[in-house]
Amino acid sequence: CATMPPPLSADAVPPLSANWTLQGRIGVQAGEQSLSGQIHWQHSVATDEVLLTSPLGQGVARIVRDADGVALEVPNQPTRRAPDAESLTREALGYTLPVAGLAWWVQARPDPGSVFEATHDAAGRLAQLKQNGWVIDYLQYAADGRPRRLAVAREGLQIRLVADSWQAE
Amino acid sequence: GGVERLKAFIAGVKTAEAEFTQTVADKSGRVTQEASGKMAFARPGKFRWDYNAPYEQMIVGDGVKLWLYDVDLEQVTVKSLGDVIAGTPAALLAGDDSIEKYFSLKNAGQAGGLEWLEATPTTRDTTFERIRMGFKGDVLVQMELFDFFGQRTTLKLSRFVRNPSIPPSRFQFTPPKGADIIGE
Repeated sequence: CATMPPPLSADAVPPLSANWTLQGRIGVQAGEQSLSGQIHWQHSVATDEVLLTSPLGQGVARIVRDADGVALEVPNQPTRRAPDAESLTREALGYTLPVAGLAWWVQARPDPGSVFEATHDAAGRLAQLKQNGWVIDYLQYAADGRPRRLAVAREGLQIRLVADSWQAE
Repeated sequence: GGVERLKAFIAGVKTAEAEFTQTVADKSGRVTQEASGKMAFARPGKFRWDYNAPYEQMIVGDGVKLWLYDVDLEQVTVKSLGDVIAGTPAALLAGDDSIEKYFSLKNAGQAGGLEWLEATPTTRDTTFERIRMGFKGDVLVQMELFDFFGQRTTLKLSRFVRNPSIPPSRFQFTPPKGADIIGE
């Protein structure tokens, strides 16, 4: 059942940023396929650049969103394009990475574009979110009130994200 | 030159332990990551990379499989070492003279008191464009890894111990209870 946005206590949620950079680690498991490494994500209203690198820092894949749509660059392969990251990752990787949703979820907020269900912990912080077929569990919050560890899942797909550092402009 | 130093390194240093710092800079030169830890290897094919800061992560090559364990993610990814090691620094570090199968090597002069070589992977599906190795005598001091996105990783080794005796268990990895195991 869809619920109206609950009153989030003001101090429980850090300010929403339009432009930010997240550096952390990501693990994706989709049946037999897996991906794990560092993630460097620069987000602004108009653009996204998500660079996935190996533990030693080598770029494994880069997703770039701009006005013309979304591109996926992988070493030694031609760039692939699609209107949005969801369809692009489904085509190229065989599973969907909810980049648009994640941009909100990493800020402990639902995507304002669609209905959601939210449950909160005793401190008024988001504990779990259900939206667009995904279940987002907030496993750990950092001292500054930002989510540090998230698990994002849907049938057959498990994503774990750790945000090590966060810069907002 | 650097290539001769690498050959002396392969011939003279069968096992090693060292501390390392790792700095990753993006295409505009901005440092996006700084990490450090301990590494060890035993030729051929056995190596271990323990990151202890800013997070805990372990990479173990046991000669057959490559294990990557991230403590925060509670996740272990495992791959067979055969195809993975081909174009990686681990192959350069812990490989044997088959290195020339995976890399074309050329001397790259002297800089910073080190003798350098440049290694370009011969296999196609690597994530590296090239790797530079800097030696002092026949001891590796620094590696620079260049990928296809303009990222540059600098690995600096310190407290390098040549040919220590390392128990085989150091290069064995048993996934901890409760961690998700992904891959073969």
